[in-house]
Amino acid sequence: MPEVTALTEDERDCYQEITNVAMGQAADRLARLLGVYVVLPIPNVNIIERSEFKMTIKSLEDAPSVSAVCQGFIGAGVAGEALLIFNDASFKDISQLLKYSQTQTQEEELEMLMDVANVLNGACIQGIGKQLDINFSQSHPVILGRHRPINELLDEKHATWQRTMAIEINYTIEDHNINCDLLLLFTEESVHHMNRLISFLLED
Amino acid sequence: MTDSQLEMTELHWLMDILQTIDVGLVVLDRSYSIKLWNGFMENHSGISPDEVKGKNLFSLFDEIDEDWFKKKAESVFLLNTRAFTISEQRPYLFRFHNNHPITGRAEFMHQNATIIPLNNVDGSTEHICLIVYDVTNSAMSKRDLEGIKSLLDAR
Amino acid sequence: MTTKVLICDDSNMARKQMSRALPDNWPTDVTFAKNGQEAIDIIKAGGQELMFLDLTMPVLDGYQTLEAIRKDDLPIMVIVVSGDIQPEARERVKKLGAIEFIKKPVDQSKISSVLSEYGMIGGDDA
Repeated sequence: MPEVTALTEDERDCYQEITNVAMGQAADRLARLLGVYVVLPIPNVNIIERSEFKMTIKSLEDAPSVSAVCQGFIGAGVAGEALLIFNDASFKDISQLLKYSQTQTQEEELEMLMDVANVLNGACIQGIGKQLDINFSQSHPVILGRHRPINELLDEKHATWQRTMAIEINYTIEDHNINCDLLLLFTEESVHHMNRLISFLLED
Repeated sequence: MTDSQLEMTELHWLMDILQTIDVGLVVLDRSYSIKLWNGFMENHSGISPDEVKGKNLFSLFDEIDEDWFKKKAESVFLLNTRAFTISEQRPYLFRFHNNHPITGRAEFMHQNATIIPLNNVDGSTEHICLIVYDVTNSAMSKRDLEGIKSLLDAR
Repeated sequence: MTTKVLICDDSNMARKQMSRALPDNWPTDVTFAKNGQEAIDIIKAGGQELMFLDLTMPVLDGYQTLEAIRKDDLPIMVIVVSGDIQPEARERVKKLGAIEFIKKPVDQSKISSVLSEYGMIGGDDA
């Protein structure tokens, strides 16, 4: 398999712009679900080595405790995972907006986590697919962990991959204490393939 | 909508559902050539329906043990009965990547499969449908559990 | 007559996509800016007539750029082109003086219909 150790400036720019459009669509749905305005950041695109992965994840979120859901996607030679990392301190505000009861049970927190994950992961994956003309299959979401320090979410010792392209999107909601990170992780093989797919967008 | 329009709409819905469902669907004829290949199979194998249609299953996927598979499938053709395989027998039929390539620990997708007969109007069976389920998560949990059990037993 | 058009977006690809989406038979002189501050400097230097403005940008984002244009009463028409398609984003930029909001990815027919609506190109061009 060909290695992809770095992206050119044009490639990075292209992934950033594609993500920008996809996360805008995702934010629009979240805004309508919650009746709020979602502040859109500039997405971060990087090739990450497995050994640096934990550090990168840790730098995303300094909250002492987080919950995370991930969902696989695959289509036309492109495969990866969407990982939603939720700052546990956000649950209180989210429950107000989603009109769940104030005293949350574990079950209700899980409901909220899944509601938000379904909207953000789904819209981002399909939004990126649409721009690359790929109809992605989405697997069932999996809970990576709840109420844990972020570095305990992943078990990179058993990982079989060398490198991944990570796209980080930090969503915040205006006037509310809600903060979550969406991490789109693509396999190295997929990046090689996607670099070819986007080359037509980069032509002059 | 008229009845026939409704039937057409329902047919479209069913087609959409079969394309999108997170389960693999393959229709095979008597000589094991592929007649139908849904979105799950296309996306996980990376091979489009046009490329597989009319091709022999075993020539395209040499990871499938022909003798083993035929033994199961022939009984479906002959006896008009369903056959099931579980990941404990063979972890997979098709060697697909794990659906969670980054956070997952399994190297490949663990699969259960069902083979069902598809009947002609006269009741004869000339086609079968292979249904492929991704059971990676439960296979991994089971493996973890077995590991813990054996640790406990060893104490 | 040639129209002086400014395209402001932090993404090189988005700038290219935008300039490609301009009507083929519309005579323009296109200038590019990589963020709001660059755009303001170019507008202040004079001569620009129409700007296509992105919202999510470093240094000075689209909202701040619209505010700066309003504060200094700079003579330019602004069409916002953004991936942020929340209804509130559209309302906010209209309130800040943008004449139109176009969602990304841009397509030529949408640009043409907006331009002809504002009389910048003949109706037949659309």
